[in-house]
Amino acid sequence: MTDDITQLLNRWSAGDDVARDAVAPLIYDELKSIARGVFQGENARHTLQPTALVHEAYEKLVGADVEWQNRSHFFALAARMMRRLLVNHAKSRTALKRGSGALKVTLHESLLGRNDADEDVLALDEALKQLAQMDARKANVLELYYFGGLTQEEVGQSLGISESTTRREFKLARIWLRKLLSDSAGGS
Amino acid sequence: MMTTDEKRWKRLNELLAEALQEPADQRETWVAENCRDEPELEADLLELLQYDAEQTGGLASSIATAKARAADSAIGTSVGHYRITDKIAEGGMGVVYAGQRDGADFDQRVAIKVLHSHLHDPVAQARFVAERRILATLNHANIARLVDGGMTEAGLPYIVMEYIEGENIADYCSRNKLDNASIIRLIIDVCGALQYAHNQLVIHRDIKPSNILVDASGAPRLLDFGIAKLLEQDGSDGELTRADRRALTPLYASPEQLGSRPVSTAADVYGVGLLLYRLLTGRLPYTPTSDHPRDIEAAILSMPAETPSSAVTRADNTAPEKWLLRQKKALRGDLDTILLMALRKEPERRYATVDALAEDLERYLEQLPIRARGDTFGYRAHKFIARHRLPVALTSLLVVSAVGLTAFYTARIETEREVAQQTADFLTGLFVDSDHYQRSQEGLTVAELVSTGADKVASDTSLDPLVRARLLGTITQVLTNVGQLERAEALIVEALSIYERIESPVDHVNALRTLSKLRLAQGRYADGLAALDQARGMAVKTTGTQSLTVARIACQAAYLYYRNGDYDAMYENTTFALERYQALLPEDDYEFRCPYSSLATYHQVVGEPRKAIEYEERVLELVSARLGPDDIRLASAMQNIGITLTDLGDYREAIDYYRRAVEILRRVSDGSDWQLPLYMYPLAHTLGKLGHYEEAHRLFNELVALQIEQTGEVHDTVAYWLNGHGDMLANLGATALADQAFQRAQDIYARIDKPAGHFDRSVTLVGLGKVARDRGDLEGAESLMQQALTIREDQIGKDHAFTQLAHIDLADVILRQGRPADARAAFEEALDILRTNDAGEHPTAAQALTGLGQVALAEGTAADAIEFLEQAIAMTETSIGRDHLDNVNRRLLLADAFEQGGDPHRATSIRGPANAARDRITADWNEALTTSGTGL
Repeated sequence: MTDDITQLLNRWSAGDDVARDAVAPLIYDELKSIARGVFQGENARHTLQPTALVHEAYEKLVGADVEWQNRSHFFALAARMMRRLLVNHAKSRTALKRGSGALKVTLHESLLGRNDADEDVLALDEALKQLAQMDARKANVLELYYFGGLTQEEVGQSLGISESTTRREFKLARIWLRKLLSDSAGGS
Repeated sequence: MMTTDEKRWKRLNELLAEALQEPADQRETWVAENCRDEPELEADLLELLQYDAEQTGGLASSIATAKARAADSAIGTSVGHYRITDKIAEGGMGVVYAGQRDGADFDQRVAIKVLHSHLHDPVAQARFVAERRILATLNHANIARLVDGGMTEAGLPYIVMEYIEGENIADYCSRNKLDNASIIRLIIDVCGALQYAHNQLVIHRDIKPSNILVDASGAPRLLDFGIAKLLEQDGSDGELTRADRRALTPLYASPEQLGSRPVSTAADVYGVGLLLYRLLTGRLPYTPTSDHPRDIEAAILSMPAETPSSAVTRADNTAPEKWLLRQKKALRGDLDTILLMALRKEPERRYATVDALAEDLERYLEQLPIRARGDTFGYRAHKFIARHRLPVALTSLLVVSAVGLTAFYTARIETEREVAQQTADFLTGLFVDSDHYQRSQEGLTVAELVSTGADKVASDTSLDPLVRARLLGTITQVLTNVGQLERAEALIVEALSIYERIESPVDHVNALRTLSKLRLAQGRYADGLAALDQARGMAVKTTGTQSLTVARIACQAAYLYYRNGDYDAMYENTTFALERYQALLPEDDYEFRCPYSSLATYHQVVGEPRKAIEYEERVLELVSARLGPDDIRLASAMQNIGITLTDLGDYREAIDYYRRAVEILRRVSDGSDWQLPLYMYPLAHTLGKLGHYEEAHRLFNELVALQIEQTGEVHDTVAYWLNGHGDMLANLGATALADQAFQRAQDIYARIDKPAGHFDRSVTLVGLGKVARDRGDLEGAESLMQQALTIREDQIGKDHAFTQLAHIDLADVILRQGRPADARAAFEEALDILRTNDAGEHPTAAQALTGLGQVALAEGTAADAIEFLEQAIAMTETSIGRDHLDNVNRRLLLADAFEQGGDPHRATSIRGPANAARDRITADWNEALTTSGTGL
């Protein structure tokens, strides 16, 4: 199984879209099944750690010895999927509870610069959406970083931009994100 | 090729990147230097820099200054065809300038509002343009006209409005020291404007004092219509995204806006209510724990609104005390009710339309009864009864509330039976094995079937759309009847959307009728009528104005009008339907049930009970012919007739109908037997009136027990039944038992926090008064009865038979304390009012006459006493009989009168049999108690 996926990932990184389409549902199913386990145990765990989940899925599906290039493809896709999963889950919870008990996640580095802050998934999702409308690349950077668990370097390589540009994008993107989050929380 | 927006974005980010390279404490200066003539850019940059993790110094004041400069710098520049001349105000959403049309020969002043937020998304931009066009068509004397709009060069949306010279409504009212009536009239005008906008499908969403200016002529002008909607940047219609919530003024937001739930015209009802509240009390209905938006939100979402009359006198109000107390008095009662209804947290529980709110305000001004009421059923009956000549017996009042319930539930169940059949057939054919459908457990199985069916329809994408739509419609009806209203709504909305795409007029009309029934269940009468209106239009197009479909729609509408209180429209629609049915259908067609029962209700409501009975009996004929003997509809029809007969004092005939109704209920097997207490009560009560105490007592015990089984003891309805039971016991003279019943009722009221001034409490008070009287505590009795009287005068007015009933009981106690003159005045007044209400021949009038007889006895005028008492007995001979306890007592008094008048022989001949009759009654009663137990 892992060989298949590795092959598909290789073919995808070589530019084969068919391979991508083939591997995507596999990843999604795996993510979902891991996530479901986590969601059901939600009361036990106070917060979710999406990147941990994505890594877990990677381990299961692909194994550890694969080139970083393929790895970053995987994580890019997984990051997007993870975000969707979390948002859908949070929305269905909110529909039931009418706004109370928002789904919180701990990103591996808190956005607001405090180590103990949990981010509200829905707020984050919307802020990223708004950012994407203005600047798609900055939004991507954040998505890969926060939901995919890539390092800054890997993000840059994944998006094909230079190190200095990556750094700059990060700095600016984080400022914009904080502004958007702050605005939606009812004004600063 | 980059758009202005993109260029601007690029520039901003470039500058930001550069600024970040400066040391934190030098950034302000750097920005100021590099954005010399662009204060807006400066403000934006500084704002962003705040969010850098390394930024330690606060930039708030620099930002504010830059913003102000940016705002001012616009002065003298042009925006579209207009030149900005002045800054008027700066608000949360943008800056408002005064301006003038470019190159105009005449002095055309305008207001130009430039919004803060950039619209980045082309979809949002397109929506902005579309919305503006809609707003521009709003043409109303009380709405500031939207003249123009567009995007500034910097990419900020702007709108141009009619310039209005005036002050905001709150200032206007306080500066001119307007009285309540004038304030209310202003608000009524505001409602007119809002209703106009609603009719064009525009919701204001942001009603607050600063959005309503009053011009020089004293007319209110609404501003900022639907502005919040213009800023929508994301997806679904009507739901505010989190980012747009900041555009709302949190204090004035409605609960659904804060909860990001769909916003309807009800949000504006809330807005007007809030505004009026503020103008009349000087404050807002909630006291949040802090000024933080989150606490304000929490307060609006979950704190109950403070009653206006009490809010006005809170300690922190700075107005002079005399004014406060006067205002408190003025607000108490109807205005309290109107405002609280508008401010309900659930949109569907508010006034259905702004017009409805305005109408109630007008009624208040004309001192007519308002339509809104707290959470009780019976109010409409009370107040309406007060203004028209209507049923008099205590029975009917106690029962009318129950009837309100019955009528409603019957309307639900009737459709369920018909529709359940349809659905079952349909589903059986398509989805379900026939084995699953068992007749004996129809109720349960249908519900299960429907649930499964609904799920399957929802997920089956291969269904032909029209079949799907039809199924959805059918399932909606059943869901409506079992109370799953939200789910029902989802389904019917989907069905309707299918019909929007695929023409199928007949089905579409049916779906709209189904929607209307759902709206009825939800209490949204106006919306229900709107749906029927649409249905009618469609039906007329396909089948003409004289068709059966149109007639059916009219009959359905009649019921909605009834629930809405529009009795004239009810009558019109019903008679139209009837006339059509007569032309198109055979005489004994079951469809006549609708117009006949509608007419019966109508005549009942306007005080023509005999006519009502005529129609009810026709309904009964139709219904018996069509249904089996165990149908609850039959029971409800009989019940209705019984009630009307009771109102007329025809107790015996009434009981016959009640019995039949109860028998049916006992046999019914579709799960509606939970309504048994409702049906048993009028029977028990009327039996009591007739003097069949034992049977009544047993029935009362049984129905109370049943009720407790269903709802637990601590429930308003249990108290209601207990009051009725106690009433009978008190009249019988079973003082201890009566006391028990009333004490229990009172205990329940205390535990459910029933308001002290509620009508039902007056019943308990009268009862306890009678108990006190029979125990010899006449002073206590008087005080209790006086309390009861005050409540009734307050709730339904002096000029009402029920109030006079309490008055009679009070007068009786007064008489016993040796104040015949006072008692006489009361009895005379009561009799007078009863006669005016066309109830001069009613058993209650007999009580007044008896009272006068007693007064005459006390004063020694035997001849008068004899006359009064004989009249009273004659009046009630047919309805309750000479051997009824009431008449037995009258006969004893009559005997005393003869004796006093100097005819001892006559006296003895009357007294003998009367005493014997009384002994018999007491013996029977005591025996019944020993065998069946007290029950209480």
